[in-house]
Amino acid sequence: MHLSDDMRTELERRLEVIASEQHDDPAFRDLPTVDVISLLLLLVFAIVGTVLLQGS
Amino acid sequence: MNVTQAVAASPVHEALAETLPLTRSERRWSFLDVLSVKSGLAIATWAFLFGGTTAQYVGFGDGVLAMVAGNTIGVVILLLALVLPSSKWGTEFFVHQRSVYGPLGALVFVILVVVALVFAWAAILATMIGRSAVEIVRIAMPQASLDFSIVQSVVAVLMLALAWAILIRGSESVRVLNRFAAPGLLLLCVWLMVALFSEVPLATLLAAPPIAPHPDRATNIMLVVELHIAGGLSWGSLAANLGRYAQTQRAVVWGSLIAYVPVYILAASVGLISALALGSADPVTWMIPITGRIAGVMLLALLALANLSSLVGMVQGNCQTLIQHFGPRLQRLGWPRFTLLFFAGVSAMVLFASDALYDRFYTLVAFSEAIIAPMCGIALADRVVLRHNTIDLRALYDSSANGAYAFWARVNWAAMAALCAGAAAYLTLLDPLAMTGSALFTSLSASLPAVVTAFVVHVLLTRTVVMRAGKGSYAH
Repeated sequence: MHLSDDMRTELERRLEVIASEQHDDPAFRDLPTVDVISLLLLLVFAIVGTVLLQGS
Repeated sequence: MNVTQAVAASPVHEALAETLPLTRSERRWSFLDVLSVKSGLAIATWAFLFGGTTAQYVGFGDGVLAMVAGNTIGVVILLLALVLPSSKWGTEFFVHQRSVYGPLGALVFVILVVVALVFAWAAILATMIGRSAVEIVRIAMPQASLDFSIVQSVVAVLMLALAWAILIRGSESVRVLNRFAAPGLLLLCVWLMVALFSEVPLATLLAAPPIAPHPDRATNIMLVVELHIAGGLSWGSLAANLGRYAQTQRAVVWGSLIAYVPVYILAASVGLISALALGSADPVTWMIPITGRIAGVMLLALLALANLSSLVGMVQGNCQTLIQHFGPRLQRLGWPRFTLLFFAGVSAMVLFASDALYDRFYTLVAFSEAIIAPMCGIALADRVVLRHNTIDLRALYDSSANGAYAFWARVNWAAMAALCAGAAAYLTLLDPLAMTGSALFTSLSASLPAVVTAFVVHVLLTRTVVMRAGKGSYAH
């Protein structure tokens, strides 16, 4: 669970780099709302589709 | 210090350093890269076997629709609950889960979900490659009196050695391998599908009855949907750890969704059709009689490549977990030596226990599902409802008893209780070994109630107990 000394040093370097990057970079941005809604719609379609298939 | 300087100055091997939070420059995988790697994982013998199990309960039409529905449900939940957080913060999946279960609690899941399964999965995949090789040898040397079990084991161990050689360079070699392999694997599926339809008329296929269904059609459909929800969710930590390399969350979500649903369904449909029409889901047994010797050998070689790409992707994703959670000794070994040790362990399983593992393929899936489904509900509740999508990245690596995510003695017992409640809901509704459901199973499935139960219990216990006790750094 603990990190070796080398890995701890590397972790500190990375946290420093990430802190400077994450405010303006698309890699750290959340999934756009339209994508989240699309995923939720797919989920609903799949559930409704299962019910309809069972009843058909 | 910029990223290039940071990595250049790193005291640890690049592949080992990648197991820590990823910087922007290390998130190199485009949408196409994610699609290739995840397709490389999805197309393997296990997809054919899932399709074959579908044929036990339903015919072709119901089977394809139920597989699409089940996989879509499982994969969407997987993406929202487990993949997005690792992609956003770039951390190894179970490191992020320390904020949910505490450092010691997360370690318990590493042992239950990864250690208990990953060696077995790797051994099963290597054995599947060995089986393809045995069929090729049978064709090439029909007169030879060889012990084919030895051929199978030797090839499996050689493939493990090849997989290790590929993996030494870390995620970049996985990306490159799959950019070449994925089109070949799609060709494999399409070729098999064409070969099957040339042998079996569509009308015959549509009329083919399921092999061993329950009396009630609705229950059979739900069993197939449940099987594929389980299949979708079982990508679990592996999908999250590989998703870390994507350039954006959009790339990881849609690349994974396409690979795990339509691409996977294509391969699973091959298994479904062949099981219904020919009585066997495993293409190794029917490829050559249907396609002829030369095409059959080429297809077997592609099948071996399919299983190799799955093996490499799976080990790359899961070795990150092992090396992050089992302390400095493993980390000091370095990535090449650690992965060599891992493959040596898998080789021992191939040599001494492969048949037993192959026969228990579905038991492994069933075992993991009762844990992974509630984990998804808890992860979703914790990230979206309780933490509002924020995390203290540094605190994830503080495993002391006074850390921000230490909870009680480094375990969040509230999350553990929620997980037990979800698992109890799952096992009450479905016996995953016998694949028999209770009366409510036909309407509710087992995974969805497990996700919802764990979600609700985790929110309630966290708000009423954990937050009031001031544990876990939840904002009020």
